[in-house]
Amino acid sequence: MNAVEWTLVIAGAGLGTYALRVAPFMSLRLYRVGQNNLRFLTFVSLAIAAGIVARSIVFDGGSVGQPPELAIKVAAVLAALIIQHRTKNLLVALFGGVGLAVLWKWLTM
Amino acid sequence: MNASRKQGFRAGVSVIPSFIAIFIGFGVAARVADVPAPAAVLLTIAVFAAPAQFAIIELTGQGAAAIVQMIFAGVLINLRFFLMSLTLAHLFTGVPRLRMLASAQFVAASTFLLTFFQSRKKSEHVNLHEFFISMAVVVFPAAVVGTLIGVAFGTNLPPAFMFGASLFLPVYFALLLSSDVKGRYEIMAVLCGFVFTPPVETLLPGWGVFVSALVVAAAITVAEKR
Repeated sequence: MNAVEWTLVIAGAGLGTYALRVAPFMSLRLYRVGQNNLRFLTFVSLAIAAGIVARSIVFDGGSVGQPPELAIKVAAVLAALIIQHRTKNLLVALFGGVGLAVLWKWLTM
Repeated sequence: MNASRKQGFRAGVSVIPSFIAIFIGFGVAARVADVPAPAAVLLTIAVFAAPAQFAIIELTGQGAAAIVQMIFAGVLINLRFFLMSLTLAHLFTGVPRLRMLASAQFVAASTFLLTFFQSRKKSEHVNLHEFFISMAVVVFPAAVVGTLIGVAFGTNLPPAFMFGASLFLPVYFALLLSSDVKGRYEIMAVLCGFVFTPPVETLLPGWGVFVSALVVAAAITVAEKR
């Protein structure tokens, strides 16, 4: 593909995505639709967050990850949750959980 | 720096490693697919959504004939941003439209979710738009830097480092969910989103999170109204 073709793809995908992002802020009708369905949107938001966690744990790139890797990821999340419960400090829990995963991965490589 | 900006900045910093890791992955994939480096970086700036960018570069092998398909694939995968902006429109009250035109580009899963979680902390009086923008100021450059690193020397980075960096986002969201969810319907939304996303993702690659969230939210909204 040449430079002009890449420019078309980037401009098309960029503008299309931007339109999706900006439309609800600009249209009063869409704003009202959101207002009438705020509870639904809250559930969508929570399910998206949980879905991102599940997808990151189960998948490695585009395919289902290997069991040992899955175990490390589950352990990282559980460790982080335990540390947060004990310390009440989100950043300590975040780095503690991820740190454990890196250490485990590095030791088993 | 005021409190809202400080909190937004802090929230952004905590997801930087994940952003860099995800976009390093995109940079590497772009390099493998023979996408020119400037095109890869411009895609990150213009689209700012890794799943859509992966879908676009997957079609590069088909050449110029796939241009329309590439654009449609990219835009369709980003449909979720519409719902996210719909929610954010209710959190950013009183923000001039012109400012919204500029900040809408930064709506992404993480910037949206972190703002959403911040909005639920009733005890903290935070200007959510300032919080969102301060986070975006940190996260957006991280995506560009990640793409540059991936294109330049992504394949030479240590695997343990890449693995750990990719875990910041899911661990962070798990922590936020564990401390934020209230009531049995919200717990159901989280559990169902967690359980149903992997099988749906297997059936509809790239759509698992969005489709599961829509179906789960619709079912729970109906159940709650009964």
